[in-house]
Amino acid sequence: MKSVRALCCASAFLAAPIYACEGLEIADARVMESPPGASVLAGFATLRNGGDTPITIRRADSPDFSSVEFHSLVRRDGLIRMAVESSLTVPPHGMLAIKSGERHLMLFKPAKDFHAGDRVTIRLFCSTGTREVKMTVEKNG
Amino acid sequence: MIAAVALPLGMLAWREQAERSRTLASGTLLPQPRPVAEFALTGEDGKPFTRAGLLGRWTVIFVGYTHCPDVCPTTLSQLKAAKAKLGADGARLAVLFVSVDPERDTPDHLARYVRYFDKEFRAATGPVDALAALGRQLGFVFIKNPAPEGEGYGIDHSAELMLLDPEARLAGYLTPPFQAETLAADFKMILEKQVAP
Repeated sequence: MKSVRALCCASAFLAAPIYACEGLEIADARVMESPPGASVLAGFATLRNGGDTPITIRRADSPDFSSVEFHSLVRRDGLIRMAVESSLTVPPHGMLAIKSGERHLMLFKPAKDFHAGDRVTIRLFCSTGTREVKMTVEKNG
Repeated sequence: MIAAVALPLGMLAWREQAERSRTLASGTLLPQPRPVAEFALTGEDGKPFTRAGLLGRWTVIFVGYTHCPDVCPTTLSQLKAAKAKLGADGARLAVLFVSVDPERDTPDHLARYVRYFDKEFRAATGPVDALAALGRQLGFVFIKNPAPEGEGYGIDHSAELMLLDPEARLAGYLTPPFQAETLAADFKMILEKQVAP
């Protein structure tokens, strides 16, 4: 069992209202360390919604990457296909796993080479505001 | 020279065993290994990588590209872990990462990429035509997938691992999802059946 970490972030983002993404809990937020010079990294997390209404994350960005996209992986006829998703929705009292082999945050053009133990910042934009998440860089495997 | 004499005996034992069981924990062995014709790619060292590069050791081939953020690094990490579980025997198994993204994956870039996972891993790429021709022989496919709303492009690619015997013949496939333990068990079985030089 992996320990739950990098939960939530009340301090969030200066301009964001305190109720940003209300009900959203973020656990196990992490980024896979990649080879030096890698142009893309993958971010993972478990999103939970403790509220009565769906939470939709419409986009994400990061000061540590040129851009962030939501990608899902589809395996069909022996092929792995990567598809861009326009948003992520966490159902009421439910969860959305952003996990290896299924879905990832595609993190483009890192500002530098990140190593295990570093932390990167990702901002999630919900309809009620912006939630900042710190993701820990971990070794693969 | 010794290996050349030992090989036919090894092959007999191998075939006998293969008749009884063609199934691996994470894949399938072909009833009959299939010869691979000559091909011309470029290795991560910038030198030509041809069929000769596959001779003399078992090789496991994974097809991907370095701009692939999840499946490729995960699979290469699993291969490293599986190989490590073989101990000294791991040296008898070569891992080759075939990049189907020659546009972005230069030899230098490929070298940095695979060596991050394991200093012994090799990589190769080449013109799309040469990659497609090798794909027809080995049974892998790849399709460039422009992402109009996103950055750059992705490449849909086969997820299977291909097993080649020390005579550069296609011997079988391993299919995902992979686990280091089962991969290691399969590699061990293969290596035990075949005396590699």
